[in-house]
Amino acid sequence: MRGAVVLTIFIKELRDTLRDRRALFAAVVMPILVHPLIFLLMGNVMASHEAARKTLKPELAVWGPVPAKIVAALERELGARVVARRAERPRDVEAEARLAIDTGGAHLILAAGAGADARFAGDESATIDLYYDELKSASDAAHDRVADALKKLRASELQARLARHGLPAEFDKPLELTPHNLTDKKRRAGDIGGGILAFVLLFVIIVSGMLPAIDLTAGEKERGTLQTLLCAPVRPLEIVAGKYLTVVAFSIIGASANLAAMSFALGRQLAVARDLLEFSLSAGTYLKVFGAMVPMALTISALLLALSVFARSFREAQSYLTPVFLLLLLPTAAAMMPGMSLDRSTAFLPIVNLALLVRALLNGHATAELYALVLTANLAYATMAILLAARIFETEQVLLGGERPWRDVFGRADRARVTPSPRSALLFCAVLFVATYYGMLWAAPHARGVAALVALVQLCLLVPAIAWVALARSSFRATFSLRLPTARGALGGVLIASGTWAVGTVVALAELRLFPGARAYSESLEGLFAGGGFALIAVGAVLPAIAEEACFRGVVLSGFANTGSRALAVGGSALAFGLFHFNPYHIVVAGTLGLVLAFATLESGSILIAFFAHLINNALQLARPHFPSLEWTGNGWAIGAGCAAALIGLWVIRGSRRSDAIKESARASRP
Amino acid sequence: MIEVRALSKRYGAVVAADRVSFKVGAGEVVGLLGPNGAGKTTILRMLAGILTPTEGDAFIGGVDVRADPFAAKQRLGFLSGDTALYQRLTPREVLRYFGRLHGLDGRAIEARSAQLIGELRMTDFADRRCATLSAGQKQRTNIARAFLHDPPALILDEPTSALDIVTGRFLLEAIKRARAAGKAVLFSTHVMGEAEYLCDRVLLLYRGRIIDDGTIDEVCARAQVRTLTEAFFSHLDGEEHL
Repeated sequence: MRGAVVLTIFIKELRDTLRDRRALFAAVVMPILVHPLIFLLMGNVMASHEAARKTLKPELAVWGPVPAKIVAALERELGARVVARRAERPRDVEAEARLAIDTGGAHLILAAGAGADARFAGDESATIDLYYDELKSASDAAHDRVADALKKLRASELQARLARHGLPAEFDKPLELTPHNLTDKKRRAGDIGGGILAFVLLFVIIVSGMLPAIDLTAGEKERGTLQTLLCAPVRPLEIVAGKYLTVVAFSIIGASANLAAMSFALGRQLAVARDLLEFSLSAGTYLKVFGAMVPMALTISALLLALSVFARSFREAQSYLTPVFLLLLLPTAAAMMPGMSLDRSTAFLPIVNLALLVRALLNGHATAELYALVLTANLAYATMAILLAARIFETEQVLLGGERPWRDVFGRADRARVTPSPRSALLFCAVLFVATYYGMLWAAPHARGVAALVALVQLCLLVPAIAWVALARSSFRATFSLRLPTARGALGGVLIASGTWAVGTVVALAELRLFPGARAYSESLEGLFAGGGFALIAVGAVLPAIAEEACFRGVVLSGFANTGSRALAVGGSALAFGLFHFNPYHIVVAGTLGLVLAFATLESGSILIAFFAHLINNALQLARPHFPSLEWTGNGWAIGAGCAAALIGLWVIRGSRRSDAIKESARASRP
Repeated sequence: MIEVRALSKRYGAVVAADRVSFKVGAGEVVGLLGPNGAGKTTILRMLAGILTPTEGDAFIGGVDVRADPFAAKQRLGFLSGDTALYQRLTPREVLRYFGRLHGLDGRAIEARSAQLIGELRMTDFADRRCATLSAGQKQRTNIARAFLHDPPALILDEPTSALDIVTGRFLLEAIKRARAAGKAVLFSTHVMGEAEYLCDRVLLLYRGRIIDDGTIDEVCARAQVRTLTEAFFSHLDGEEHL
């Protein structure tokens, strides 16, 4: 895939879409106009309603011997007025009260049984029933005001009684409960706001991305411009990537416009409700919202594009996307259920993880690790959707209208390739990430000991790698670089293998200095592996050197190498290797090691060097707790010598491939 | 320059192209003639890499279209009568876009665009959005797009359909210039007059098969008639009787 071509398509599509007044109006102009209008209108109505409630003078009906002191207090404190009075409480008091309120006879009925006034005066308890209708605003407001006033009256009456009997003020409080909720108002507001925001974000991203997604795919088919593009020397993945970036950009632009308009209007309203919710629209909040918006836009845009490509017309695409829109709201609603929160078990759940991420970012429970997990999961899902869209784009049955498009899309390629295609490697990464993550979640409680867990996880890698190559009918020897290196390659390999651990150590030490969070992660790993014993050293050194190398220096590297760009192959496989470690701090260390190992494999044409370098690195890291006296990771000389050996090794190994490996890779780049 | 060997395309039981073989050399204009549904568009789309052949091989400038469609498309200019343009872009922007997709650098795109805009008399509308252009102006833009990267092979699928006589003439002159420049042109049409005016050789296509291949004189002689139109009908009548 050529970046320049993707950029050309992206710029053209963005320009084209921005000139589409209909899409621009729906995604940007409408929200800027409508949101403030709605919020301001609603805010003003609510504020005037609240003011009316607070100043309402209740009209009361007093039935039965309600103590005169109480009525007088309500008249004095609230300006209440008794509009009807009965000496006795009626037999069917509820029906009569409903009739009185419905006919406007009173806002609230105070009813007391026989002898209530006498009991109140004689230091006994008097029961007063309050009848009101919650759905009638004046009745509800009268109830709230009267109930508040009566609570105050009850407290002052109690104090007076205690004083009369010479009892201390704490007499009625034998036990004081003082709850201390660690969720402060700000976090609570974030939790509530996050739940609502998840819905709002999903909604605005879908609305903003839907029109461009349809227009750039089904719309282009309908207008007949797609044939022109397909005649140009452009690969389907480049077309899809350019269009995908446009939909992502438009989703983010539209969602940002929506949120900016909402926050402008909401900012004014929040000032009114500040005593209830400590929710501020600070720069930090905006940053968090943007942080949630990006993975959401990546996944939703890919999904919208993949579905729209299937449609033959604008109308057909709309009919595909409308139910999807509703289906997407279900997991978002599930994420708002009580007890649901972002953790390791929910971080990979499609869509649910996005809604939970928004909540976690705003209620302060999101960690860098969880954010990285959600981002990795969404990159995997988005990759799958984009690859599906690219596959559809090259399926003539879909593009030109056939009877069995699904069979063509999901059918196997006619011809086998020597090594996997770049797309196959990318799909392998996405599938591997999801499968391994859930594999780890499943294995963790079932495995007996850390060594068994490592063994299970590595099997989860090795089996798919072998199966992938077998299903694609590719060559095992070429894909996994199963060759001996040349003499020069072997010399470079020895140097690289002896020094790779030092490169990883330098990066890890730098990370510990720069990011305080890295220390906790490092210590947790050390704690996990400390109790593993020598069995763990053997398993943790040998199995990853086989399974991870088979995946990342095998399937992924050989597939990415077929792009024709060595930099992309080395960088892409290293990034995939880093992301696979599912931790933001581990990404950098593993990614750096991935660069060294991928370069060594590609230049030597042999996976053996990466195998030994990986094995030595893991063995040294796992053996550290058992040999504290050696302290090689704290020895500057050892680290310096190791790094120098690795660098010299990388220089020596350049271009040391055997001639048969060069020929094979040339053959591999052809379908 | 364009070579087709036993090319077939089947959709289930329907055979759209049946073991079709022919060649178009450099500096040659070959007409692909046939009634609706004969398989002209299918064959041209397979050559353009839009459709995948069921069997057979196709080469553009010596490059196998199936093995390396990317390189084949670099060597090809494709134009059809129903090719549409991006409505919200101007013709100049369309040319820039396709120039970049063909890997031309900025200066080359500007120079070539200016040349084609002049030759095809597009100056008046080169900076107006395509949505506001007439059918003729749109097709002139499409001609410029197909010729922009100066490909050695041109495939034109009924390019004059829905064109007025003036714009049609533009296109025919452009094809003549392309032949003079040594390009291989494969040209499908319904209009026999255009074929007689332009084509060095014609291929008569019927039900996915080539039923005659030769110069216009050769085709007429074999059918024992004087005009291409008569030859065409004579062949069709013969096929219907089979």
